Amino acid sequence: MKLEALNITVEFQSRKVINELSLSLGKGELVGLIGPNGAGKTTLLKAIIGAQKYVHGELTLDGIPLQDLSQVERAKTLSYLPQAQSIEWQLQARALVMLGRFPYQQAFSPPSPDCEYAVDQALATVNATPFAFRSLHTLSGGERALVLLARTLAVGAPLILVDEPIAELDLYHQINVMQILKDKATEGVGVLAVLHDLTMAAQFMDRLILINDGSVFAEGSPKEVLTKKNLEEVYKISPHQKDLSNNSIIFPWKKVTKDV
Amino acid sequence: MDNIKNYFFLLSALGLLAVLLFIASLMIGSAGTGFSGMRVMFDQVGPEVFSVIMKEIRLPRAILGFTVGASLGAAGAALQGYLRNPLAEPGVIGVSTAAALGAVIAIYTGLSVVMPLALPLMAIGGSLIVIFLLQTIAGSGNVATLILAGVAISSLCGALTSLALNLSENPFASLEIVFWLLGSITDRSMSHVWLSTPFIVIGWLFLAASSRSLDVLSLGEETAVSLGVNLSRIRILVISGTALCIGACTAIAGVIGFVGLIVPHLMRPLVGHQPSRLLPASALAGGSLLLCADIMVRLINFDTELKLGVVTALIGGPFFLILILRLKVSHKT
Repeated sequence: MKLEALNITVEFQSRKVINELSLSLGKGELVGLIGPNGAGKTTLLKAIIGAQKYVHGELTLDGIPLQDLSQVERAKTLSYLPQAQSIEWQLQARALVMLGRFPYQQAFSPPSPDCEYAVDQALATVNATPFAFRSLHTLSGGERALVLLARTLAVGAPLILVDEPIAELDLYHQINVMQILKDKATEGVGVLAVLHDLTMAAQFMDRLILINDGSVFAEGSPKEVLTKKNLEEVYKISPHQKDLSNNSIIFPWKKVTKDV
Repeated sequence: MDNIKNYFFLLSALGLLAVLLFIASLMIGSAGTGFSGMRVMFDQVGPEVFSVIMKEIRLPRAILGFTVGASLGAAGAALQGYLRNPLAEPGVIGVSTAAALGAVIAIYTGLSVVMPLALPLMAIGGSLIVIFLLQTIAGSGNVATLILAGVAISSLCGALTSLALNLSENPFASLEIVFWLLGSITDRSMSHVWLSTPFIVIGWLFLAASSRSLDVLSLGEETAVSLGVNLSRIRILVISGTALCIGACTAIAGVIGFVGLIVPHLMRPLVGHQPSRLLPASALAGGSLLLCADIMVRLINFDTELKLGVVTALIGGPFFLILILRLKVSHKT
């Protein structure tokens, strides 16, 4: 399964938020989408899942235009985890994960054994089984994030789009979530993750796409993308950077004062 | 798994409660109450009149008590789920005020005197106009636009109702309007039941069709879209479903407040906060609550009969305050 976006342009009141942007996500790939606030990362994900209209461009799955797929087929193929999700009702964790099976369920019938199995698997994958039967509002932020991730995995989609999955997590949970995503990619799932933590991105991602002002600024291996020059130009910061054998530690140090 | 068992147990218990209250409602009335009272009534009036009292007076009242209450409960649950707002109730999208306005116009113009069914028909017409208005104004917009449009429609209809009262030269018509607005299911006939039931049932079916998507909407609109939920389909189902059943209920019973707001709150913890499960539970509980309130109206003897809408508001208001206080406490700990 391969997702391709070709020359996508999204406009908000005639301002181009995404400008002729192209990217691809293939089987088993772990791709990081990075860039400053307002670069268009979230908007791009929304355009891919069909929650944001784009003025032109094309989205295809294995060459088939996305709009030719039914909403259910699309839902089974692309799973989406939004950033900082608020859940209105105090649902039980497992019931929430079950919502990920919506595209597979028939109206007015209890979930099939397949659905129950997929939900249990998803909960086990993120180690959320111990608190699966607790109500969402009794969980800690980290546990909640795991449950929401399990919901995304429960879809069983070959492609997963996650928006800032580690933004509000402590250090342990950050690595935990990144590792789960990496394991999924090893299983053959294509993962596109919006990230702000560049060290995490460098450590875990196969490929990085750096966006600035709605277009791709740089793309390639973490080493190729996370150069001092790119960071200064796009993020307007000078990092402290320490190169390790196959990735690097990046610490944002100060604002760029002069024009680069 | 246990979850589903508990849920079906809850639904059975609520169903049983509704059936018992329905029977109780049939057994209470001015002509004779309880087994012995009904026996005396049977002996006094003879089998024919007895059957008329039961079929033409008590049966429609009990049926309407259940259908109106169930509609209020179900529509409240669906709207709270759709708008993801625990303060939503059927009135919030302006349906009940619009239906009331339709009825008030029927009384004001004297049409309801010429043709009694003009009142409910015009009320249903009022609620159908609201579906059209909401679809046009908030058709492609978000939830906030819908609430604002509903509030605007609601206050406009309220203002027009006041205008009708203001301009009414006939004090009897004014009194009738005021009494009608208070909400009641006294002295309704089977023709009211036949008129309202199709709209109510279609409304329920619409709401039921939306219920599973309401669960997914608790993840937010974008995630719901990513899971294959068609947002405009859900909006049409919820708005039309509410307008049809609440419009028909208001047409028959006037404005009955608080049931649609409170019942979903009461039921929510019992169904694991799941909007799809809340819908049938709220329908059954709403039906039971209104049957119960209507029984109280008949048992409490004042010189004038209390209006059902007054009783639900009198019980509902303080009860809701207690509920909010408890919520506040549980949030603190």
